[in-house]
Amino acid sequence: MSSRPGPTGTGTCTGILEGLSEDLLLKIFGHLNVLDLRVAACVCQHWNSVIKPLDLGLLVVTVSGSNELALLSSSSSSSSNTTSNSASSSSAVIQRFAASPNHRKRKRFYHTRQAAGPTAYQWPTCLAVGPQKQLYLSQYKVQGVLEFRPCRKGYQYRRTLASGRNLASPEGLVVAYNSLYVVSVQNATISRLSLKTGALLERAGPAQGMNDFWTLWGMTISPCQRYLLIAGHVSDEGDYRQPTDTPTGAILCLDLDPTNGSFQRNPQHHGTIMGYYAIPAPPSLALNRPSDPQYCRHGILHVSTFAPNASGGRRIQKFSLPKQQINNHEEELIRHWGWLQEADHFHPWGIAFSNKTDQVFLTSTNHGSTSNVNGGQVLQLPTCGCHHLDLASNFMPPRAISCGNLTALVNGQHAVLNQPNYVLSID
Amino acid sequence: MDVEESTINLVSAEGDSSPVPLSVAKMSELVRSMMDEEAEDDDVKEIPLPNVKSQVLHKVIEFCEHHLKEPMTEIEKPLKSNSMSDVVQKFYADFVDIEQVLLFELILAANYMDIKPLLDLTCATVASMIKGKTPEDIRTTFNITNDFSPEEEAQVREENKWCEEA
Repeated sequence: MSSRPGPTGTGTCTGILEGLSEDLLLKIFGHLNVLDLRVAACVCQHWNSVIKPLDLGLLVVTVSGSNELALLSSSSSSSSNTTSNSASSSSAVIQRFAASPNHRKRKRFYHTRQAAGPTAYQWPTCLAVGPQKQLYLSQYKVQGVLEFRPCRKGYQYRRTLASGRNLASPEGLVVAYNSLYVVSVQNATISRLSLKTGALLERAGPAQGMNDFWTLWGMTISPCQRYLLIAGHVSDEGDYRQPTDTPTGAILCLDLDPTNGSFQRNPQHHGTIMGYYAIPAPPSLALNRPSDPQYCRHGILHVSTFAPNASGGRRIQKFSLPKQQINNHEEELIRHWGWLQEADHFHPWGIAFSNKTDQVFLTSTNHGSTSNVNGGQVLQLPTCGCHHLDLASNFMPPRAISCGNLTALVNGQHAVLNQPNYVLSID
Repeated sequence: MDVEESTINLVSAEGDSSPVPLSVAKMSELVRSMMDEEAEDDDVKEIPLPNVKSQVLHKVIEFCEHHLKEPMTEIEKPLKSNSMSDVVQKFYADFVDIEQVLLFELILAANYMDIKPLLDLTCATVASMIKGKTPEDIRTTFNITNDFSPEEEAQVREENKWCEEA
């Protein structure tokens, strides 16, 4: 197509586009992705006022089956309703990119190793976002963390921030205090790295008295920024896609120094790091292979876990922790509120929450799922339902909490995303 | 004569009359509804379109005639390319390779006459001219005045910040 005359050409049309009604501008903007809309909002006041009410949220999803990351719009405007079994929608996908360093030699190496055997897999897992919207990714293959920087098309690989045996089988990631906290499943440790250089600052293992070897998964930080909370269970060597025989799962807690984010040390034990410990929980919680703990904006912690019944399905449990003194080891500190009702049939694994709305985002695979989709799904719930909870009430038995109609941002029928793993929301 | 083969006159803002087959005219929901309203009046042979200039009406008719022969591919949202030839068939990509004034008048005509595929095509074309550009590029392309104060612009850019290139 030839270029059209601009303002200096014969087709100059000063102000014509500015004169279009809001409805027509929205029809034009409806053809743009979120990244282009963010640019268009900066053009003039009229465009800004039209775009401002739109949902410009983004999601990043790790796609383990294809060793990719997917950047999605968090808007459900182009999504399909899961209950209607309608056609697959991939329109929410803005970008797909390799979850590995983009060096040609390294890629060939990966393919060779991947062909060598099933144990040489790529395995992108947890995600975190930095202050400049940098993206951090745990990657098993590099035994470390990759950093991606935002660009016009979405994200591009920048560097391998840190790698090595200390970070073997990396999972949970948290960015806070100019640090990156990384879970290593193989070492059952949490490392604190410099966000700028990737240098190891300190490592924490289990606290005294934690005699079992714990398998650690996803991790989050409490709203007060004083605790790292990690989903974990006693190691069993079993298939992570199946529940363990007995529910040994727990929310583990690692205390931080609120002045600088370093791990709390015990002055009575020569200043050694105190380590992580399991938060006492009521029997009704019965966490079984919990994977991803995330806070909603109401301050309720949500954890994906196998359901306590024998269905083999997963669900999202929600509970609250006290805002302070989690490290009182003697008392039962977790209060179990119930679970996200509408997510029950979709085998949820990763969870993310919008910072601006009540929206909940879930990844779902067909492992043990009662849904009949072939590939993975990224699902959206309009609300976590926590605004209905009476947090001041003394006793309320855990119950299914309705969160509205569940929609698929990416439906699995055409296997658009192969084994989506964790999901991150970027406002 | 079959009903499909009968014609109706579409009358432009300038009063020019263009005879078109009914099947073509009925791609416009506006024309269709006007015909339905006056279905009992056998004398209805003309539909006035006072908001549509002759030049624009000819383009609209050209689009509708071709659409009946070769329906336009549904445009995927969001656009994956800023070249319309990657998005729709060649005829339609060539159809909107026109001056901006005419393109915007086509948007208004498609909206007024309620012709969904034409509105989709023209709006997507404008979107394709926005896609991948910076705010400055977009202002230049469409001759839009930056009416933000420096403080407002800084705030809006911060609110919508994604990357430095943008």
